[in-house]
Amino acid sequence: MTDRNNTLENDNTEMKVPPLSAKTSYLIFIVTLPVLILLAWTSNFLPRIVEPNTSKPVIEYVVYAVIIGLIISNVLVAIPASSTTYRQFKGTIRTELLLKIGLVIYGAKIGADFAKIDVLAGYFLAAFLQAMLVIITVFMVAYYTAVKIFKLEAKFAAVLATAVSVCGVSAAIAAAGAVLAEKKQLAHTVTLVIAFSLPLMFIFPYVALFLDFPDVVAGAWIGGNIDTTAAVLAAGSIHGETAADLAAIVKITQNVMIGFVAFFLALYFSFYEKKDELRPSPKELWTRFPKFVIGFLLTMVLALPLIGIIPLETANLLGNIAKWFFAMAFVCIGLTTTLSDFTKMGWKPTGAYTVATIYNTILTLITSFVLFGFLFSG
Amino acid sequence: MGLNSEKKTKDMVISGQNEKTPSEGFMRYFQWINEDWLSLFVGLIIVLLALLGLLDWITW
Repeated sequence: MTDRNNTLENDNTEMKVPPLSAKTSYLIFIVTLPVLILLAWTSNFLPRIVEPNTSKPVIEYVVYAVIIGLIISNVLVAIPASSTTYRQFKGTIRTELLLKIGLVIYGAKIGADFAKIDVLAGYFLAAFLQAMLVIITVFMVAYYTAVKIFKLEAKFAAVLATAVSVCGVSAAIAAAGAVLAEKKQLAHTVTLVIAFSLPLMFIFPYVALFLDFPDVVAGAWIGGNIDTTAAVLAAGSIHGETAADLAAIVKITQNVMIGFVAFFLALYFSFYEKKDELRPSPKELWTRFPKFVIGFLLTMVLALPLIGIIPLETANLLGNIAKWFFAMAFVCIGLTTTLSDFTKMGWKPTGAYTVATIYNTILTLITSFVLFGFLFSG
Repeated sequence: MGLNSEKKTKDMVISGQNEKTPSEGFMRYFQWINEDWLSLFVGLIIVLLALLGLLDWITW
C-alpha cells in the first residue's frame, strides 16, 4: 500500500524494528489522525502569535509544522522508553498521502486564482510574458546548475528549481509530489525559500527606492523575484501602493502556472525514471505517472472562472482545507526527519538556490524594465 | 520457478510496486489501491462534499 521507496513516503531504512503490516499501519494512522490535526492547528496558531499584526505571516505555517514535528521526534528518540515505539510508529506516517490529497484540493484554489487575473487592467500581457520567461529560463538555469555544478539529485534539483522559478512553498510541494522527491528534500527546499524570502523582503523595496525605479517596475521586480506570496505583499507594501498591486499581479500570474509545471514534471520524471531506458511503453508510463496530478488539474479546470463548476467561495474554502492537509504533512515530515538529515545535505542546495536567485534577480530586473517600464508602460 | 519469482520481485521493486500488494487480511481485496489513487479519490470526495456545502464549518 505504500509508494516507492526512498520518496516522500516513509522510508524504513533506518528502522531497526520489524515494520507493521499494512492493515495495522493504516489503523494506527487513522487512530492518530486527531493528534495530527491538533498539531496542524498549532502550526496555524503559532504565526498569529509571532506575527500578530498581519493576516499573511512571512514565516509560514509549514515552518512551524516541521519544527513541531522535529521537536516531538527528537524528544521521543532521546527517551529510551519511547524510542522503539517511535521507530515502529514512524512507519505508519503517511506524509505523501496527506500532501497529495492536499494538492488535489489545492487545484481548485489555483483555478479560482485565474479570476484575479481578469482584473489586471493593462498589465496582464506584460505579467504573463514575464511569468513565462522567468519560469522557463529560471527553472532551466536552476535545474542545470543544481545537477551539473552542485551535483544534486535530479528530483531534488526539480523541486528547488520549481520553488525558485514559480512561487515558493506551494510550488515546491506540488513539484515534490509530481517527481516523488524525498521528504527531507522538500523540507530543505521550504527552509531555503523562507530563509531567502526574509532578507529579500526588505532588500528589494529599499534598493528599488534608493535607485528610484518607477513604481510599476519595482512591483514587477519584487513580484517576479521573491518566492513566498506573503513576503511579496510585504515587500510591495514597503515600496508603495502601486508597487504592491503590481507585485501581487505578477506573483499571481506565476502562481497559476503551478498546475502546468507539475504536470510536465510528472510526465518528464515518469518518462525518464530509468536512466538506461530510452522509451518506456505507454502502459509503463501510465503506471509511473502520479495519478493525483490528474485530480490537481481536474479541480483546477473545474474552478476556472470560465467553467465555474467550483464557485469562487468553495474554491477558497478548498484552499483552506488544503492547508490543513499541508500542515499535517509537514508535521509528518518533521516527525520522520532528523536534524542530521539536513546537515548531511551540506551547503550544495544553498549554493544552487543562491545562484538561481541571483540569476532570477538580474533577469526579472531586465524584463521588468523592458516589459513594464518600456513596452507596456502606457 | 525460483528465478522467475526472484526476477518478478526485482522488477516490482524497481517499478516501486513491491509494497503496494499487502498480503494479509481484508487488505488483500484492495490490492488495486495505491496511495496515488487513494489521494485522488479522497481529494475529489472532499471537493464534492465542499460543493454540497457540508464543509463550510472548516476555517484556516
